[in-house]
Amino acid sequence: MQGLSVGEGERQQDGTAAAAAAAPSPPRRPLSDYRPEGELAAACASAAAAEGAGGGARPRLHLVVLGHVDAGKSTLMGRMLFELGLVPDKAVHKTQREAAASGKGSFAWAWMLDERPEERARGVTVDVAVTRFETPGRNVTLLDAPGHRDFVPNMIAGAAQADAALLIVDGSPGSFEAGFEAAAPGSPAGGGQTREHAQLARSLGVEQVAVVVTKLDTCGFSRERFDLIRAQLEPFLRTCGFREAAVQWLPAVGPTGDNLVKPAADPRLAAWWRGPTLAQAIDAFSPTHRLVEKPLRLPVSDVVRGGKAGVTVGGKLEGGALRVGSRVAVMPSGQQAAVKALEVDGKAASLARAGDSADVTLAGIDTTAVGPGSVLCHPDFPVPLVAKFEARVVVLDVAVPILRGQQVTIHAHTARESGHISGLVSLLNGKTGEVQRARPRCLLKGQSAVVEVTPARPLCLECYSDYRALGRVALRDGGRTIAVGVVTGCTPREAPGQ
Amino acid sequence: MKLLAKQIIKEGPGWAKMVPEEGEDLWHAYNLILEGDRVEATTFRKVQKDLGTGSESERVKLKLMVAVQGVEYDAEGQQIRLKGRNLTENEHVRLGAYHTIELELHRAFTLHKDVWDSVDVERVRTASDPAASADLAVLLITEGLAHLCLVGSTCTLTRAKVEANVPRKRGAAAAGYDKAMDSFYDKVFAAVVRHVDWDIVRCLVIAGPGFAKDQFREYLDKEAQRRELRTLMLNKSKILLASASSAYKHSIKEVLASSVVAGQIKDTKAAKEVQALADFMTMLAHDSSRAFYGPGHVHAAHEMGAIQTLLITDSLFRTSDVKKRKQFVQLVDEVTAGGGTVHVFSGMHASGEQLNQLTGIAAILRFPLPDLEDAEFEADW
Repeated sequence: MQGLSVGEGERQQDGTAAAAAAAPSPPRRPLSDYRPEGELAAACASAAAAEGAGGGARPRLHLVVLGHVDAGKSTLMGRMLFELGLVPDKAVHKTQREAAASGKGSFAWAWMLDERPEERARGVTVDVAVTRFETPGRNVTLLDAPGHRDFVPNMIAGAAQADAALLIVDGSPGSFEAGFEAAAPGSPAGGGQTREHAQLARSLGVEQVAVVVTKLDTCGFSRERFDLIRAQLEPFLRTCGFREAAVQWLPAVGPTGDNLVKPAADPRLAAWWRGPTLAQAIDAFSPTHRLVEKPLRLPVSDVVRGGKAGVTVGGKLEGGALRVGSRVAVMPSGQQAAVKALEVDGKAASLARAGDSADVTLAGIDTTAVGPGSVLCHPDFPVPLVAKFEARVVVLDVAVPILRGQQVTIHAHTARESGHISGLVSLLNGKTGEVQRARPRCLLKGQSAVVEVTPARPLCLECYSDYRALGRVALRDGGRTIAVGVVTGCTPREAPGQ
Repeated sequence: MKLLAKQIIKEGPGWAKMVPEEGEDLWHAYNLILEGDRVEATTFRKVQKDLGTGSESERVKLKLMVAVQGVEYDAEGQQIRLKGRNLTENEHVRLGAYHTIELELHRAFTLHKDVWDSVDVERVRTASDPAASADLAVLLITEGLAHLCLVGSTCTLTRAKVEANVPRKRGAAAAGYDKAMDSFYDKVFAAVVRHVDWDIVRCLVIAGPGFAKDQFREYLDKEAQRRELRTLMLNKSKILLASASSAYKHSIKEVLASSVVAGQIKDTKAAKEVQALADFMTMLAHDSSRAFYGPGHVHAAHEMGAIQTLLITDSLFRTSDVKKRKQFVQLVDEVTAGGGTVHVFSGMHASGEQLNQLTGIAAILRFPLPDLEDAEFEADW
């Protein structure tokens, strides 16, 4: 259709993309050619050895906290930080005084993480809060995600970086059911977020989850309630693709801190709960393998500071490694930049490896060329810029069947872009994955299929087989997640003249 | 569109003299003028004047009739370019020379067609019916992205798109967050002031996920007071809030379907189209053998007299293939004659765009045709 948008945007994405098109993009070398440079590999090997020897550095874990709105996520984690002694008493009293003053006394713990004014005013987490703490066995980067249905896109950006997840379930009567009810077909209202978050997390690469049942104090810590919730949720998690062994179950109470670090103090809970505390459950997660042998990929989750002194961006390294002075290609703009400074866990660092969250200060690039969804790559192995891609997806609870032309929001790693489904390629048999029918007329709930998706602007994507972290997509529309899947084919953007 | 005069025989030759008054009228003209028609209008021509000492070109204003070969619609520039061969005898332009006529707002043109079919006649009627237009301004906004759109009777035009990098981090960057949000809201505010003309706009709907819409509403009221913008303050009651799942343009469908706006726009074309497409989708969910899309399937269903509601976009009528166009016009006539309802979607509305990507034609049937589901039609893809 005719170009309808009169661009007044401060971020001229189209402008810079066109500039990149002018520079002839080097022919794409296959990822298998990549050999890490000598001293970078040596630095990674020595850091890995230090970590293995169990000295100071504990294995790292990115942990996202998911769950329906008001399940108690922020409160639980705020109290957890306090239990681990990371919050000075002065700060605790100050927050409690402020919370009580504005009549939201019960939100005091949540305010440890919800720092933004509108989050405190409305008592709802809006954006992912990133903090760090250490348990006896892990160095944890905590991603406290929003549960509200409108902020699922922010939650996706958090879950895309996570190795493991805490699924917080509100145990009080009626609340569990609200969070877990499926979307009624045909009605515009979508389903509960306990369900949607679990499906999304699994499709975004999270394989380990610990289900934490909160607010059991409202029903006298009854063991039947806990077992009932587990009985309903366990089969669902299996259908999402979580292996039985990878799922842990435990009760906990945010406000009182029961079963977080110290075993349960409340006699009614201690009577029947012998299982792990939250800290022990986190230590039970197996750390993920660091993809140091792959070329550098750092999807940018946010721009911390812009300005003349260089742009500082934050994100998690999905692969490769970075040192101060390394050169990087910033996609989709294609401009090259040098790493001026590096911060890991809030402390200056000389090396950041795959699996670390880092703040990278880049020199030689303007603020409009990089933003959430951009990807810092190895200069010789840039991520492909995709004009169209094919994906093998599973259709979730949809109000109406998916047709060709269905307008969607595409979520991949930290990027999100509007677009539409430009073709229903084939319908697959759910179990075997073979093609059941070519060019189906429409896709119904629960079916798996191969679809072709066209984003409005070129997107940084990889095929799942080449680079898993950048090959997973979620398609959403009308406030619901309609399909999740993996990228099976990419059509790189035709730079003019190619 | 002001209709000055017309002399049209249905299914026969005729002419009509019209003056486009607003952006949408050019969209109507674009759908009326096809290859092979003749258009007469005042136009400009650069003519070489040889003054003995060398020639210098001069723009001459003259009235020409052109046999149209190419029609180009420029939504943003509010203009249509008609390329074709000149048919008027005059001293500046040779007969048969190529000339491009630019149709612009408030410039009359006369359209001569060999055949005025029912779709064209209906198009002229709706274009010149002043009551049909109900302008609705919709601002889709979330953190860091905003689209300001004007929903007219037949066109949804994006007036402004504002994008900004809002730091999401906590702690140190929190200060940066407030500054970035204010500069973002300020840009959106400027776009609203410049593009929303309160004389023609019935109401402004601010929609989007989360709290950005509420915060921008407060910002709007506060800034209107501070800068004493009387128009904004007077029209405060015309500003409504609605929820939408994203700030991307296609979420405008949710705003048009929401109850908040229903009162304002229930009879407009945009709302009826969104409803018709929603009915088609729901039918497809409940009984897929009563909902078909693609020219092949729809024609097959029509032969059985099964079509209860026909959904078709105006883009299909703009094909240069006269046979195909006659086929579609005949389909529309027969379905209306058979008591069915026909919705001609405008390609410039979000739902029209979606139908266009779905082959541009779909139908809800009176009774199920299960065997039609497996039929394959080459014409569909």
